[in-house]
Amino acid sequence: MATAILFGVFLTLLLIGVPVAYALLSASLATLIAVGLPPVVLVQQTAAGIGSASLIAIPLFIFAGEIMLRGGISERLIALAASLVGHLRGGLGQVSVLSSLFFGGVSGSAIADVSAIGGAMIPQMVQRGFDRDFAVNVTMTAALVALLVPPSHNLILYSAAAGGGISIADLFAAGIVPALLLTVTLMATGWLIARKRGYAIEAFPGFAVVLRRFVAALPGLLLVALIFIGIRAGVFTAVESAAIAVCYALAVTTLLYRKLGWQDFVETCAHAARTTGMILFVIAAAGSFGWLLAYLQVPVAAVNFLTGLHLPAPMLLLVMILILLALGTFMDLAPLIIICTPIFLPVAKAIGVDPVHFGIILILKGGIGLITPPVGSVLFVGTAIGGISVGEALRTIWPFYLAALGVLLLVTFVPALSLWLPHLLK
Amino acid sequence: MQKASTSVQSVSDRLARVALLIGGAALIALALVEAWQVFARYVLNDSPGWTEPVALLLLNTAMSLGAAAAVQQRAHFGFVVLAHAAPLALRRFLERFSLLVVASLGGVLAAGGVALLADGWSVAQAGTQLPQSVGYAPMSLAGALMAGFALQQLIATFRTPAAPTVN
Repeated sequence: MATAILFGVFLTLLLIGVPVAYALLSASLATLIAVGLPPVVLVQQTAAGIGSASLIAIPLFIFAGEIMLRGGISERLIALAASLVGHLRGGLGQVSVLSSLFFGGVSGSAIADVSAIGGAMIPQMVQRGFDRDFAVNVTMTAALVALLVPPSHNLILYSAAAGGGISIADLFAAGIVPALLLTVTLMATGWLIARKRGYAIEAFPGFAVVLRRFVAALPGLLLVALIFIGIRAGVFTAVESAAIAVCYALAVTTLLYRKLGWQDFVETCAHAARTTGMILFVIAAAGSFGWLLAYLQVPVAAVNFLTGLHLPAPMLLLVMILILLALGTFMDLAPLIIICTPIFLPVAKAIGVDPVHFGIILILKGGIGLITPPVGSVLFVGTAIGGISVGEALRTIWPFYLAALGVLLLVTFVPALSLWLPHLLK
Repeated sequence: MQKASTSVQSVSDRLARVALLIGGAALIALALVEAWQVFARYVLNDSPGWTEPVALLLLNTAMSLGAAAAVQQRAHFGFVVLAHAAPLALRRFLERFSLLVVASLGGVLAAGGVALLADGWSVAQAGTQLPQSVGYAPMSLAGALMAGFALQQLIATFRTPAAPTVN
């Protein structure tokens, strides 16, 4: 009964438009009252939801991302991507995908990525004669790439949700090959659609331009490399690397690029604080929800139920994918990770799936949910930026969607794609 | 009446701005604390014990004040598609109900936060001399702000006509 209250209140409030964090808190409060616990437990568990030291990395990466965005680093990364692949069929669409790979998870979420890169790329694409639906669809699916590349905060969140026992360095390494695979697949899909629709090809700007833009973008690329190598080599922790990313991004944007003035900096801080509040408050609220799941022994029941189906391991994994895809359509990635990790990770472990591999599957699956109707949040942000209806986007999104699903199935059933690099680097 | 409503809105805007600036300052301090930890470990050969509890307090401050300001700016993640598709009267009812939920939860966070803050105030935190329960201070302040912002918006809905449907 208590479990029904927990999920029932959450889903009802979510669907009638109550913000996600408050729907989670309301469901937790209603359940606490139903099981006879004092409401103050809600405050305790919400505070405990962000009590893990590894979560400190998240606001710092958000902050570094804001500095990169306003200080000129991201526009140089986009310019580099444009010089590298802008001349291929689907030109700027390819640039969107490659920019997401370069810009990575620094921005913090797929929604932020689609806002940042889509805001810059979709109007340019439309101006150069691309159809709006193509511009929107390629940008939305490209945002999924950013979920997997280091230093994606979703991987840090997964590690924290799993109890902190999974190495963040391993997760960062594990995301790279699937991210590259997704990048190539989406670029190939964009190329095929562009050829079918007869989009014009632009001239290659020449190696001199590529080199010049590479040098201009190098500080941004070095930041990602610095973080990855620093954590991998054990020089600093993920949290410390995030602080270094902030200091480094500030130094590059103020001293080298000289683009971030005082007023810009103040606005950057204020905007980063708001984004931190929006993302971490959902995580904190999901903390109380997750605590109640454990209190009500939902993870144990889920393990018993799923293993009781006596399905072969690949089938069980497929069932979990379908459940997570369904959940991902109406939940943002952060609460999905916090709530589903304690439920599904024990099942995955029970059937012999490596926790690092499962983390990559979970995040890719959750990411696909964000572009899936009826209520994928990236879908709504992307279509709003592109000025088209969800229906218009959905009519032509299916090739990108199938490409992403194909990569998901490959990543799920070929563990080496995720585990090869972490093992190699050990 | 109109003048009073505008001045309430202006106070609300300023409060949200101050909350964001304090949250932003907490983020800067957070980066400095963590950078200091790296410096102290490698240059001073000494890992300070105070950095983690202070960093968690700063994290809590940035999150709480940022979340409160996000209520005022209606920026929290939510799925408003179904609500927006509803007829005008129902949509307005759902908007008010949602604001009431936010205001109530803000009140719970504020009251619960103050109770927990008082409970552990006399116990010192390991690694710092700060009270053990100081981490509840930003959340209780943010809870009060959330309640205030949501109530102000709730009252405003009775003074202004419902917005047209968003496509």
